[in-house]
Amino acid sequence: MRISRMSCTEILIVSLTVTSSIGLLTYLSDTRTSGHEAYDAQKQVLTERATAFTKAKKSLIKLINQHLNSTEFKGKSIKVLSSKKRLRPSRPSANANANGDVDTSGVFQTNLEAESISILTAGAIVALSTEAKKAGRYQPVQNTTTYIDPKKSSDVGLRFFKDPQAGRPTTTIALPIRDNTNKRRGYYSVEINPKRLYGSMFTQDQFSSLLPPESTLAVAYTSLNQITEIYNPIKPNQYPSIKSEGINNALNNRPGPYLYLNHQRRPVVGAYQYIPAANMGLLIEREQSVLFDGARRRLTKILISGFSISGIIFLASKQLKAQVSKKNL
Amino acid sequence: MYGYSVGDSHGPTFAYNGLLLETSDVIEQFRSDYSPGIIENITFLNKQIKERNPYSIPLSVSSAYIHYWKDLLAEANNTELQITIPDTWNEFWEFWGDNQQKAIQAGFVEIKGIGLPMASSTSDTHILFDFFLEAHEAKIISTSGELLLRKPEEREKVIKAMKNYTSFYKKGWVPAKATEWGDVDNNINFLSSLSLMTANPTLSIPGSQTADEVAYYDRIASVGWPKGVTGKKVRTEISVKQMFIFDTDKSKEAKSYARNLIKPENLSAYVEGSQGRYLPVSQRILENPFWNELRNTHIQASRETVENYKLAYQILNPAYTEVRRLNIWAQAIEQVCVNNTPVDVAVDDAIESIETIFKKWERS
Repeated sequence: MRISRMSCTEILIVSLTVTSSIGLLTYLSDTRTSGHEAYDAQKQVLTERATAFTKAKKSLIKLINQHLNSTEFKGKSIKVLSSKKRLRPSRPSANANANGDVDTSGVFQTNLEAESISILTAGAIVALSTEAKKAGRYQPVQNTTTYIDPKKSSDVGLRFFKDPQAGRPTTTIALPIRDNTNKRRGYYSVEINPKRLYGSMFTQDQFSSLLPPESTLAVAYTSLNQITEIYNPIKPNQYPSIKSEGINNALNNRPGPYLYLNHQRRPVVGAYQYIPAANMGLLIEREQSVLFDGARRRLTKILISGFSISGIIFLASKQLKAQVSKKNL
Repeated sequence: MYGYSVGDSHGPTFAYNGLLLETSDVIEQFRSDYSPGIIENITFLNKQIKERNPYSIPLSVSSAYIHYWKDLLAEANNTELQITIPDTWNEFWEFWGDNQQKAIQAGFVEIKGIGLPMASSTSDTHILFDFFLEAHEAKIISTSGELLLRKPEEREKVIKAMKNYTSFYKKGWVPAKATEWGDVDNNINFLSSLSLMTANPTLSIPGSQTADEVAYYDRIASVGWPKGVTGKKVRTEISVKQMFIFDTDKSKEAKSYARNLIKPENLSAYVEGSQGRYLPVSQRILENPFWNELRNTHIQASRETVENYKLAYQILNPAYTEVRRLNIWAQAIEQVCVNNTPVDVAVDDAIESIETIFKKWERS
């Protein structure tokens, strides 16, 4: 078809189609490029944070282990565990003297930011604790703690549980206390607020290192079938059950797309991975609406310019056609 | 197939529907060695051939046992002398209520006397309520498998048993959260010294303390069930932990595996290795020193309890497996405690549900 034979409307349609196509192709190319760049940057941050978290966990276990191997701790803790007098809940007056002449100073290490530290009997009943309320309570080690036996392996993934009283996830690490004959006499149980482990991923509480800023989501199963954040830096008291394609892939140690809807149903660019040291999924996410703002603006410019030019061409061709018609008369 | 409670909740149903292989040939060699009651409790009806035969391999056996904090009771009574626990029904339960008050006065302000579950979310409630039915001589099913709850005198006895069971909760002798407990919660509550006594299927409570001799021998003790309201011994439903062999192309290998597993040397290691939670089904294994330690009140009380066995209701009629699975009695108990439903109303609702289940089975 020759252009001179085209009607003005046809010219307008062709012009608008070309403009839209250019706009769309440019937008797709821009988002792909900036999406890739964003993902690569997030992946790098993810790797740094995963390494920092794993290091923090390892150093925590190492600190506890060092304490357990000290002669002072062994002697005093075994004395506590050998005592026939045991602490019981709700009897503060008795608690003070329950361990008789046993000197308990130095039993609990002070170089840990622990919520509480307890000595458990071999039957997992709290014999002594930094938290008076825990005395005499039963703590099923196999079901509610991360049990680590350094003689077997220290490389055990942490387990998180949502504590109904604290209203947030918590993790308790229990290690065996052995006597000189290697008999397990009890457990040393350290309750850690996941805030501490979460914080270990950041330098000086700088929660973001990218522009636009990222959000770091550390998620785990905190009950039999509920996934929550292990620590929520924005709302530290709220731990609703959350899910998204990224969370699912991270916890299942599965690769997947980096463009998906996050747990708030917002489109994000996400990098994620499974952290075996904590049975946890780590996600670094940024919202597409912010990341693709430049691409969107460019698209708008293309469309406005294209539509304006199309309009001008339409008007000009109409004018031209009118003049040609007059001449022919 | 093996599971902790699958023998009670599903075994008779599997056999009734002809899904299982008969196991007489496997257990024949040890038949005379099994403790009394074991073979009867694995002999199920098959509706296709209309015969009763053994349909599983018994591995261990348990019932429900009563445990208490010996040292806590002594502290509450401010004595080092042995405290005698009554062995008659009403006095036994009153004893724990009275000692709750003494323990509170002694400073254990959070303690409750009785750690019985009141929830439909645990199978323990059904199992323990059965002792109350027995103590009140309520009969649910006749030896011929007929449902007896339609009889007014049996209904009355059930009402008395449930009034008795729930009265402890109403009196404040049972932890308030007992209406929400799952299977492990009475264990946790008791081991946390929040109740003076509890009753529990299997010896898992003292079993969890085997590594701590002070707790296992000196602090926690077990006693047998008290005599029923008329002074008769309370018979117990025993739960045989059993392995089922389904009628499949792998059944030959399964039988060979079972034959090897039940050799005394293997079975003994298996049962003793599970912290003595379950008793052996073999009289020969029961002679081992592990099961005869005099200072071990847990094993002694469990042996006495199991010896006084009765045939489980689901053996008499497999429809009762569904009553267990749906936890009908526990639902009624929970209704009484949580919603203040009158006991007779809750019992009538339970009887209606049980009748519906039995009618459905009769039609099938």
